[in-house]
Amino acid sequence: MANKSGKFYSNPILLVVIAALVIAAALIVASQLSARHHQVALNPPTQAGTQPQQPGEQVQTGGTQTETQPEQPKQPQETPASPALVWPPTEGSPDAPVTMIEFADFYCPYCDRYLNQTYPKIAADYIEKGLIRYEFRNLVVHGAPALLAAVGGVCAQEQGKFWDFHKRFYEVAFPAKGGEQQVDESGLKQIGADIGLDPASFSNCVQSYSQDYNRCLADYQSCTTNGKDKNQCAADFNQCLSADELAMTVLNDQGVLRELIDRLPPDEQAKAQKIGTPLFFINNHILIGAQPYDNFKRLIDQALKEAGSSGS
Amino acid sequence: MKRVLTTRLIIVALALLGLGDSAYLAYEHFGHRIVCIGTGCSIVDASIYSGIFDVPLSVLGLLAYSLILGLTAWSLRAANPLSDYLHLGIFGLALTGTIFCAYLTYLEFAVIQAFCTWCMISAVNIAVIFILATLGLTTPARAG
Repeated sequence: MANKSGKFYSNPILLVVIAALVIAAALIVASQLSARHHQVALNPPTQAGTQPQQPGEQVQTGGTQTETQPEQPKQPQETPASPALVWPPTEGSPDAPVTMIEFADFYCPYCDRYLNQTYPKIAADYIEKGLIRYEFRNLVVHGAPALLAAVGGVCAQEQGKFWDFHKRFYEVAFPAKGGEQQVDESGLKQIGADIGLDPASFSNCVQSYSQDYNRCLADYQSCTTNGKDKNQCAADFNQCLSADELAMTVLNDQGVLRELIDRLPPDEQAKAQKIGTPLFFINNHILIGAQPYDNFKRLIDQALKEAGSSGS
Repeated sequence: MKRVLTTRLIIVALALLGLGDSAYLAYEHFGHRIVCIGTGCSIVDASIYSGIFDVPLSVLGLLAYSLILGLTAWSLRAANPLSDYLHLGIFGLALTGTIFCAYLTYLEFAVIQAFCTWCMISAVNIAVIFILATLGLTTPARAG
């Protein structure tokens, strides 16, 4: 029996190992093809600035967010990237009794879901009726690609077309057929063309950020390859990127987020222990996630009632 | 014989762990999460590597662990040579899974630059199953 067993295992093992290697290789190839399919539908190959390079993470941690505590270091106040820029983008009546602020990430699928399923109802029921003044802010949670996209939004806003960019970007990044497309710099320019932005201005705007980002990235890479402390290299990267006004316009929104959370009443602050996108402030209330429309409606109606009773 | 039995029972336990892990990731993937937290699994799950042509990797994980669980449970009851064949199947699945998980772990660290704990649990889990299955190969079950 023992001999029989040994004989049985001699060749089949080899066959199984070969089959396993072939299947694993096929899976890896399929994964790469799938990723490429998601990445290049719009554009030619990528550039360094749009890749999820390590410093993309540092971009986040520099001022974010992400890690669930709002009280992370850094970033101050409003610094418009150019005199032409009015940030944040808003819509609705400036005299509306309720201000609703959305914090979103351009690669967050739940922001896309909110935009498609809930936002149209809020727009129809409240914004268009002059009851809500709506504001957009960036909360970059998906690293370097999301920061690039957010910068694209700022560049579009320089030409007064943030909302068109916002809508078009999500259409491209989250196509109706499913999946996710990563949009690189040339993809951004295509979106700019789709919504009628002045190509030269938009291109210059995006490129000015990319050049800064790539320079900081190169410094970061040489810092880490020289064996310096990674945290120090990351801090230097953040410092380097803070010289870019476009990036800072995006990252400053995180400072705004912290200020808004600090201003909430204690019971609302308790809801902000774990933050993420999409995140909303509705006057003095906070709502996190792509929740059903009814949850928004309840809170908006409550805010309207409060605003009415306080006479504002 | 006792060692073989113990090894396979451990594989059953690990396959159950892997099933639970993959089920959680699939649950999160299919809309039960409504917030992008921006760390670890959120970034990995939102990346272009989180699926193969729109089939989420968590679903592949569920499939693989279900097969391993089924084959192992069957091998515990089956007599030789069927039991040995079944064990060989477990070994093959675990080898495929280990190689693919090594590739995914490389992607997490080198390309996506984000670290998903639940994905890592699955990667370590399948590697341990592979080691156990390999040890089982050197001392095949001899039921009957």
